[in-house]
Amino acid sequence: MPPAITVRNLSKTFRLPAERRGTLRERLMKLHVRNERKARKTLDNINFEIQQGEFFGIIGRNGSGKSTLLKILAGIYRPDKGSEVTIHGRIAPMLELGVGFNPELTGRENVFLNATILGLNRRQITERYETIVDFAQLQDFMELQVKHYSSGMSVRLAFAVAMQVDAPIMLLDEVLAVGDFVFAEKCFALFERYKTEGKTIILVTHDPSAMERFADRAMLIHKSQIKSVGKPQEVLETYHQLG
Amino acid sequence: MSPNIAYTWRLFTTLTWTNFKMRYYGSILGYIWSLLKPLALFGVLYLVYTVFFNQQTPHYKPFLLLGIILWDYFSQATNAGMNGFIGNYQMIRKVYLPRYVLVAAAVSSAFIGLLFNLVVFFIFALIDGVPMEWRMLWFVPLLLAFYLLTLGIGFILSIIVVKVRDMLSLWEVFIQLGFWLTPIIYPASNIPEKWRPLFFLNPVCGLITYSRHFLIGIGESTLIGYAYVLLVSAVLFILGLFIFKWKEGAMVEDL
Repeated sequence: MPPAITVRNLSKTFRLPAERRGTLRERLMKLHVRNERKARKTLDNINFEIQQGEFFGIIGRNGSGKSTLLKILAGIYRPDKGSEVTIHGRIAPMLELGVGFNPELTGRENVFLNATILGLNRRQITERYETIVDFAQLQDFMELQVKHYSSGMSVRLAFAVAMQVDAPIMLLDEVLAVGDFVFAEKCFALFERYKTEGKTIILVTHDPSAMERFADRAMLIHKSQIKSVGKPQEVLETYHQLG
Repeated sequence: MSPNIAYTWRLFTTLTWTNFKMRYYGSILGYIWSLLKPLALFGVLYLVYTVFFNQQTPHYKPFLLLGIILWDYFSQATNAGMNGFIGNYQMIRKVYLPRYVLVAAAVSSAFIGLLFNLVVFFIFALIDGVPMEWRMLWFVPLLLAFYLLTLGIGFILSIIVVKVRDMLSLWEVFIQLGFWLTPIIYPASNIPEKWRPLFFLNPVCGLITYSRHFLIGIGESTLIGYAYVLLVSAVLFILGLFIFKWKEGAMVEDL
């Protein structure tokens, strides 16, 4: 079976101007001064493979490049020329809960909107609507505008919808693990379920316990490069040693 | 990552409908409010031009109303399209979806508003005694061309505005000026002959003038002019789509 994800020579350079010249006035006033474009290599020659059915953890400090890596895998950013990213199978990137959530709309409307953005069709959403509402425990609140929800309610609703996303490869950002202790347990239960279903999971996390509990293999990204790949314990060791 | 057609269509319809709802959500008057704006403008201009300037065009009421409704759509659709990319910054950075759908949905929700306004116009026209004719069917391709034109312009603006934020204000000024330089309040026949070709270079000029001819019977239209409007609209649509597809990747990183 081919690997679920193959990444070769992946680099990502951002060419950002030194100063912001977003308006005509700024451009005209500084016309005579060259706006030096600083090239920042956010990812430097990344190579790795993830097998089908693996639970793969990615860990790294803030600013290490992991978010950029995720966005490239999700198709949001384009990698530099010469990078090879091969994905075998349908991938569901879940980089944030409640994408598209609009506070002016009701809970029900947001479920349909969010689920559509995540790829479900109308029939699927209608079939699973009850399950979603029950899981979020918001039976009496679905016709209420989301701007009146507490943050806990919003997160529960967004998560309930996210759970319905079904793809062989799941890309999960650590954002999924925010929320209180009860919410974290729900996340972990979901991970268990994914594992038994044989899904390929890529989880970006700062939480070492989640890493050790679920990951088959892990990878440490530090300052745009891979510092360590292998057993979660070893990778975590290296991570701590970075200081 | 290439999402399939079914997904793109579902996303498009859902976002269009959501945009449309959002325009009038929360306000008590809802859709009525968006109709009130062109109607109020119509009221004032009608008063000024018939009473003070002694405008003689027959059926001036539907004549003026149609021009205002069509220009109002042009303004709303291009503005909505222009904001389609930068306005959805949150979504674009967190999930991959076909981004042109965001611009297309914004323009389309304005188009739905236009369709509702046209119904009101027809009622107005009937009350004013405008006869129903087969000639009116010629309006349908014009309407579709208008849709494509605003889509194309929306695509182009949505890309430009990422790098040059001034575009928001510049376009506003452009729309203001355009209102007077397009025969909306006055018939095209008022434009001195030697300047008329210049004015008609603007596709919206032909759109509004010919729409009035087909729907009300005022003024005239030429086959060349008609074809020109359809052609320019199609070209701008295709051009807009190309420019958008070409630049959208780079623009995401600039958001």
